[in-house]
Amino acid sequence: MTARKNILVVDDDPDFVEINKTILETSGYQVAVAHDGQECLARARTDKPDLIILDIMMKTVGDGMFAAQALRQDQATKAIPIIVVTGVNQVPPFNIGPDDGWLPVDAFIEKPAVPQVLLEHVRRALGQATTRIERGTQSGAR
Amino acid sequence: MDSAHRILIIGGSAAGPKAAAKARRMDQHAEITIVQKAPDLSMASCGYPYYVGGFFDDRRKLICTPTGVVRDPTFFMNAKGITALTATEAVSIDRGARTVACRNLITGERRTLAYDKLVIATGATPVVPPIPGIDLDGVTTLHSMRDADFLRRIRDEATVKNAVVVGGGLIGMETCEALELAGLKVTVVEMMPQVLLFLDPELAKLVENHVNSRTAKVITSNAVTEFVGKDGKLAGVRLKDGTELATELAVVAVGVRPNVRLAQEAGLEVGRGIKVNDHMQTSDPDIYAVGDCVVVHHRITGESVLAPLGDLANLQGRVAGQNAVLGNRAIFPGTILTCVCKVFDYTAGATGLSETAARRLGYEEIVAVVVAGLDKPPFMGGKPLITKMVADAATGRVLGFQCVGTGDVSKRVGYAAMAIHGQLTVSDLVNADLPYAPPFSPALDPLIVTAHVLENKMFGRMKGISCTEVKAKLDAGEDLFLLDARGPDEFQEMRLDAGETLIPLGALRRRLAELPQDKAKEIICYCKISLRGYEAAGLLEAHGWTNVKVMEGGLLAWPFRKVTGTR
Repeated sequence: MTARKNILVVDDDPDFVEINKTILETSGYQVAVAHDGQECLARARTDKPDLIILDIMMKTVGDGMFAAQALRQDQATKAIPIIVVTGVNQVPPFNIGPDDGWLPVDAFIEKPAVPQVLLEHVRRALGQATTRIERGTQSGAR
Repeated sequence: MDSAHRILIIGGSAAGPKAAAKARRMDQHAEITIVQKAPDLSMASCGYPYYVGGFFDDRRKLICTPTGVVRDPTFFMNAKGITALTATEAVSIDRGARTVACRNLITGERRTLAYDKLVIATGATPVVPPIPGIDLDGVTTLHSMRDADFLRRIRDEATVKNAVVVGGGLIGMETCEALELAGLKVTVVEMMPQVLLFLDPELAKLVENHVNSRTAKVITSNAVTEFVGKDGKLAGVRLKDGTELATELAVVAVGVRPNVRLAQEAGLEVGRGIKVNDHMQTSDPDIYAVGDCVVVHHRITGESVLAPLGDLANLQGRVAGQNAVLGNRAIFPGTILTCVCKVFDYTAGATGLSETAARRLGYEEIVAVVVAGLDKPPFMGGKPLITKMVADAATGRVLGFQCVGTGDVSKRVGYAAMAIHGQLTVSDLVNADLPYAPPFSPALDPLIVTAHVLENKMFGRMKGISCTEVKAKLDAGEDLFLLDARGPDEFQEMRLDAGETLIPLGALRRRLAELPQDKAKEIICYCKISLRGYEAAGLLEAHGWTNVKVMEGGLLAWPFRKVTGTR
């Protein structure tokens, strides 16, 4: 294996962050954390992570969505793959998925995220060898 | 054939009822049931904007047959022998037992329906982005009959003055028109740099200009970041650039997402939508899926695409209806994403690939041209059309066609769609035998003329340059010689005013001395539609100028600032 890949986990829920940090670190990734969209943008610019795992509803309901849009518009961060892990669609009236305009991300996983599924998406987004992603999760390519 | 074949259909808007009706026509004895969540059946949902806009006033027309009979459960039972359960939600599918659990949304009554063949037509739901304030009163979509009723009431009550439409796609632009006709001052906010993404930017800009010539306005490259409320009601929207627009109504039209939950929970293969083969059959041979909930094969690119279009829903329903009865005989070969929409006096339509889409997909070797002209002879009141054709440079195969303007766009897009279906080439279209008489078209239909110009370009007889490229050169301060080959009257009426030289085509032969003496200088010729521009270019080349280009589509296709009135 080459140098450890850096993943930025962005979520305002400390439990989610803790669990996924553990899962990712045990799988050999280096993990940094941000708690809202603004912090995500700042860390993305300075740390240049290899991948961002992003929540949607943080400071505001669409915080992560606007963060994803900003990441894509910034030359410094536009190429970083983004995986959204969110429960937004469980809250009426929201209904959103990967979308060039509103949610320009590489993959979309509904919370709760099964560890195996998250890891598969991470490997795929990082261009690492993958096995087939389990069915029953929602995902979409950009 | 199986006896008393049970065909169950989930979804009763477009694809579902079509599948049911076709299945009935194929098998008079089958037991056919439609489970429909909404209170109405077979709604002409594409007609909602026209009901809101006041093109017709009788709401029932949206759910009537052409003879005026409302398509309700009684109609379905009497006319078609189909049981339609409205206000009934399919909760889950048990593929092992071949049953569907349902729940009546009014009584709460639960029941289980058995099937031999199941057709899933669960449709799509509008994308509702998590923007703060989106649940305020006054923020809506235009997707359901209820939405249409809500917006129509706003028209009829005439108290709301302003509206913001979020999204400049097909539905967004149709909604813009509907609300302006309903008496509202409308602003469309589009996040991308252009409206109507099925068009290339230069054609989309013409549509945008047309909207801006009304009381409605289009704002591009901006987005709504907050719906601002007052006492729980919408009072305005805040945009990304900080602008605030006061509005009591906002219609969110940023696309739809396939309803795949039922299929997914039943373990069927699902991508961005339910996956089907060309028989519209899912990964379970006893289950078909049709309409907005499926991903569709793109006939040019081979990709799986979302194509939530009413015509395709009906075509797919017809295929699934046959196959549910006969086994997999009928085929739906996919889409070329043909679409058309009315935006005030303009119509915008496209089929196949735009140049932008083709390049994004990695088609490098393509040729494209923009042409302007009239849809009928001038003496028959011909109206402008701006067309664009995209073809494979090596084979000449037509890959795409777009058309906008106040003339009959739909007919030309229809012709082009059939050309693409038939895998025709530009040279096939050059001699197309189309119907001609002055009330209907010019002797050479705009589609044919577009093929002629593209052929000229492919053969190197014409070096074209797009309006966008000319504008970029002007903005960059490049040293160009712009030759306007029209008459002085036309010039007075409207012109680029970008340092051009006016030499009418008829005078050009004797005024060649006024042209740059450097024969290698870049000269760009144009006129109203660039036919005279093309002829001028030919004349200059014959006299030794070597870098002569024709501005495609001329001033009619020029989407940027023009100067009108006496100089």
